[in-house]
Amino acid sequence: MRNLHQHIALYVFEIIILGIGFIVILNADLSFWAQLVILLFMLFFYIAVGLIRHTKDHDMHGKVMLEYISISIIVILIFFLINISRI
Amino acid sequence: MIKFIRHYFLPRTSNNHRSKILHNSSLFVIVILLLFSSWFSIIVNKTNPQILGISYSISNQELLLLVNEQRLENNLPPLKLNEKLSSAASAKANHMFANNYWAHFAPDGTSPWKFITDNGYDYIYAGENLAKGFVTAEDAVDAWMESPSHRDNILSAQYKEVGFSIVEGSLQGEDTVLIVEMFGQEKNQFLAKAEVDADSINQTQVDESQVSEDPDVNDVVEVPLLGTNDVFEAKNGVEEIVSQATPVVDLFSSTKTISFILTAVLLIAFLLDLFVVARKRIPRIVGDNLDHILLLTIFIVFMFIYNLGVIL
Repeated sequence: MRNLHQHIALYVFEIIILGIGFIVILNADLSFWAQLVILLFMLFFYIAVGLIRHTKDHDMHGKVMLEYISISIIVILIFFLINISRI
Repeated sequence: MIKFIRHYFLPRTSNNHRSKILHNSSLFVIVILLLFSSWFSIIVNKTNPQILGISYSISNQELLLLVNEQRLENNLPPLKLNEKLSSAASAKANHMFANNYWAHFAPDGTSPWKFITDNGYDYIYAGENLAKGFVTAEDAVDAWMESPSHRDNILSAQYKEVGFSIVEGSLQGEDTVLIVEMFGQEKNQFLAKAEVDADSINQTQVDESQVSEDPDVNDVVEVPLLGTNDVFEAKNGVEEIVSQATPVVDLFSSTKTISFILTAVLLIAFLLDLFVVARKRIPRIVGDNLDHILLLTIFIVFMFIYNLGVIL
């Protein structure tokens, strides 16, 4: 939060990429597995951007990385859960 | 209880200034719970779909009503139900399930029109619409009306009759419900109308150059579009076809609700954590709350909009 202004471009970029990804999943006629691949790419991007920012701020730590990965796994599992009827 | 909530949702000394629910250990527990929920849902869905399965209820009457409502609002005559077109729609749905495709034209090149002619419907205009994954007729018709091309098709004056099929099955690895609607205008209807027009023309001495007394019946127009039905024909004794499944628990809505609540709880926890720490200026090494808030906010909006239904 303290570095909001410093990283504003990265935040905006992140919002755009995540937004586009979810819009594609919502609107394109894709199979569940294709949607999952798009989601994985989005989350990979989310983790990468987060870790780059922490590295720049010199507060990169193992538990920070674990936190990003845990949140990403939760999002994947939730997406999986709401699509169980399609599997 | 209040102490518990504070411990889990507010950064304090007791939780090392990070809401307990956001600790990696808590996130790990959530992951395990989600894994278990997914596994449990799959097992129950596969073994007892009558307990935990897809709940849907779509009837031809509803489709008739909804689509013809749209036509009537646009000063168009309602479509009439035709059994041959319904048989064609059923054949198309079964063909898609058997050959595992989701398209107007089959991978082997089979066109929608083949199903229509194979069922004895000699058309001069014909069309098709497809929908899958919708749980109500209203959702499907709404989706078609939101699509400009499908909307144009629903409101086409070229079509006089319609038939449809609602079939559940497994398509491309997904359990789903297909709605196939086919509609058209038969050649004999076209000719009969032309004859009536010709009679009236003869009686009123209208300029014959404006009338086709011998229409070119080979001039067939094939336009994929949306299906409609005739409310009035249905009221006159057409058998209602209702396709429905009513499990004890609807899989999609229940999992979506649980997921929505879980995401909202995490989002609130991150927001509280963000504001309390910012206010108290507590230094600590954790992930960027704003990052997680952005992701979860976009994801919760996505979940709110997300629907399994697709049209073609």
